[in-house]
Amino acid sequence: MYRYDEYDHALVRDRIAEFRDQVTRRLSGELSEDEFKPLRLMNGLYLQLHAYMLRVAIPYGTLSSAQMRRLARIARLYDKGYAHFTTRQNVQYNWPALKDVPDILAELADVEMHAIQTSGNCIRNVTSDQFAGAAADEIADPRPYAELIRQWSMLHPEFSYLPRKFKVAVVASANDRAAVRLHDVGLILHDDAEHGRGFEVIVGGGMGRSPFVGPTIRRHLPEGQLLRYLDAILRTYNWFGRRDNKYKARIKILVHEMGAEAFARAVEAEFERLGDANRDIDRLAETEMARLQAFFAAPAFEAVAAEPAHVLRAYDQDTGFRLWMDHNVMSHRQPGYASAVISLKPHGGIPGDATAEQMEAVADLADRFDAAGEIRVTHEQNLVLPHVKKADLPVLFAALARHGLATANAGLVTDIIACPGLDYCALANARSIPLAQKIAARFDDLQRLADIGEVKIKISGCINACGHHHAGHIGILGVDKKGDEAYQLLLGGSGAEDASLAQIVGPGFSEDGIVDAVATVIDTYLSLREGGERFLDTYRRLGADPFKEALYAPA
Amino acid sequence: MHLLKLTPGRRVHDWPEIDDDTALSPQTHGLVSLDRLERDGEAVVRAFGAVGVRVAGDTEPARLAPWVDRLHLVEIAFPDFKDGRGFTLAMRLRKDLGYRGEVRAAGPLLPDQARFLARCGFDSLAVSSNREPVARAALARFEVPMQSTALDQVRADRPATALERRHDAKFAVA
Ligand code: SF4
Repeated sequence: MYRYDEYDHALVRDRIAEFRDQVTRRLSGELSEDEFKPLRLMNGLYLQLHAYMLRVAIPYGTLSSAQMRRLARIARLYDKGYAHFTTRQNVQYNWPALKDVPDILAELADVEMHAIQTSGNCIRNVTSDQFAGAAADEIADPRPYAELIRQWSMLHPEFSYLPRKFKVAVVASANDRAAVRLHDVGLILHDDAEHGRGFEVIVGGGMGRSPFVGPTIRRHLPEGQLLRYLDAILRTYNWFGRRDNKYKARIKILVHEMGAEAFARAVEAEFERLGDANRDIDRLAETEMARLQAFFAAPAFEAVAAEPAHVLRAYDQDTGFRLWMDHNVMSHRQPGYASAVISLKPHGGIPGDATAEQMEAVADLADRFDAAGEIRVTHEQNLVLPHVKKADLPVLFAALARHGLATANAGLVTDIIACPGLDYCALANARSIPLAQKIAARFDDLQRLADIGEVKIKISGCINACGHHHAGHIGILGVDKKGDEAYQLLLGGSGAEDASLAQIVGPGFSEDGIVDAVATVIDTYLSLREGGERFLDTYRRLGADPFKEALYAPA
Repeated sequence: MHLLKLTPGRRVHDWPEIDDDTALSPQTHGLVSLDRLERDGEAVVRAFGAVGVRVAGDTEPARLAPWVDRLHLVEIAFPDFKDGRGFTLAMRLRKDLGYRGEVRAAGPLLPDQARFLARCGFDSLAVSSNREPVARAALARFEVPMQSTALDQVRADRPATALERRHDAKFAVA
């Protein structure tokens, strides 16, 4: 993985000194809260319902075991002994004290981490495929590109006071595991005989109040021109993006109001203006790419049996292990290796939460079993050990189980994404986490979950959509119904390569009603599915009608 | 208000401000609004030895295009420190219009923004004297930028980026 050099270290060090000074000026009253707010946000510090929340960047979701141990230490020393992994591959602490934050940042800097631009109206942490470097279907490892963008976006002098936040995601495979079409900018690496290696550039996707699947504005951008093109997109957005209404300030609204073609023309014109004078930038970016690629070289894989006999035996004999293998173990491009998804969705738990002990256990297991000693954070709020020898899977499974980390539900009904909701968030209409727990309780049978197959449930406590309900196969949205918590049900969304937005099926439900409604939707699917159809396939084949009928027909 | 110099090489000084209704009289320096410049253009240029213009941060650069060769100061007034359009306007002035004179930042900016302003082509910042030390400290921070800006190729007086120091022999530290 990437290692800081003197320049990265100096930047993070300066940033901490700067923030320490800003906190002091805030505490002395020299800075007003209005002035301090954007500054603290750009360092990942939010004010929530009960306390400050610090969001720490995990660039493109890659962590070393040492970094994970440090995150655990911070949870123990400065928080209540746990941390929360987010849908943007970041980690959050819900209870830090303002005066401690500079010290926490210093703890992070020791292990080459920071909280820079994890919030605020700036370019946020770049996200990518959690199986980067391991997936059999990738053209190249997308992380060197993501790292290039991370560095370019760090304290960008022109693009740190944008109309609104700006999120970039990069993938390098036909299977989109980073929801690139739902980002401000999505990049898909292609490699074909005609054009060579380059990016498809998607702009203006997003969820929130006005969800859009982003249009492609450039089919092929040579990889060396990436930074120059991003510069053109950001300048166009910074200049033309709306600043009169924060709900209309994201780039998706600009792209929608201008039209994708007009927006693309404006970007291309700016890109051309940047042309001649900036060839040097392209050349340097290409040289830097070569440096970055070396950091992400494949670990030393051993030549091992593709299908070890003792693993096959365990698979046949142990139902628990079999279910975990079927759902949480992903194929790897190296024979005899696999990627193991560590579920942070134990039934009854809080989606995405991990205790300090669990984080340390994962760090130890990464050292023991991962060929690179690496851990990944997924946008579905789980963890991954990317490079595990298949022969080690039974031992790994048993070790994970001892720490409550072996729930065999990756991609299944109870692998729920839920935003913080009314338990933490000042904007919430309704609770999200307890609802996720109730749904998990209703489906608390791993065999049944396996029979149902892939279903992505996503819950947001309000229209801001932090729980990505628009991208859920089943989406749930908390609404305020005359002071009561209520929920709307949406069906048919996807954040994958076949991106689509979930649609509201009909009138909303109470908290108990929505759990029944999810069960009804699943039962309806089971009665109608054909062959190996996933829930989403059945829904797309038949449309909403049979589900509406089952949900709303008079008993 | 105090004027903080953001680029080492440039001389900066106070410009007397002439409001839109005051008659023009000959003087060495004069700062007028863009409306005034557009209304009385040639007369303004004749009256002042050096002409400065004040523009809002969201001014279309095209409005400045006819004047760039005759201007000595463009003062960009940020309506709010969170409105980043002024950064882009300064960039455009320099890189698209080839403007070479002084660019000054004014308005309710934070002293913490001094470094970003400098890197976007501003030469001076109007800052209250009690905030000047913070602005000076901000200016000295983040010595090696991680990225190039769109301005870099037309500026000699800029810090070498991390990329350049890593890969370009001419920037290597001896
Ligand atoms: S979706 Fe709404 S309730 Fe949930 S975290 Fe976001 S703002 Fe808060």
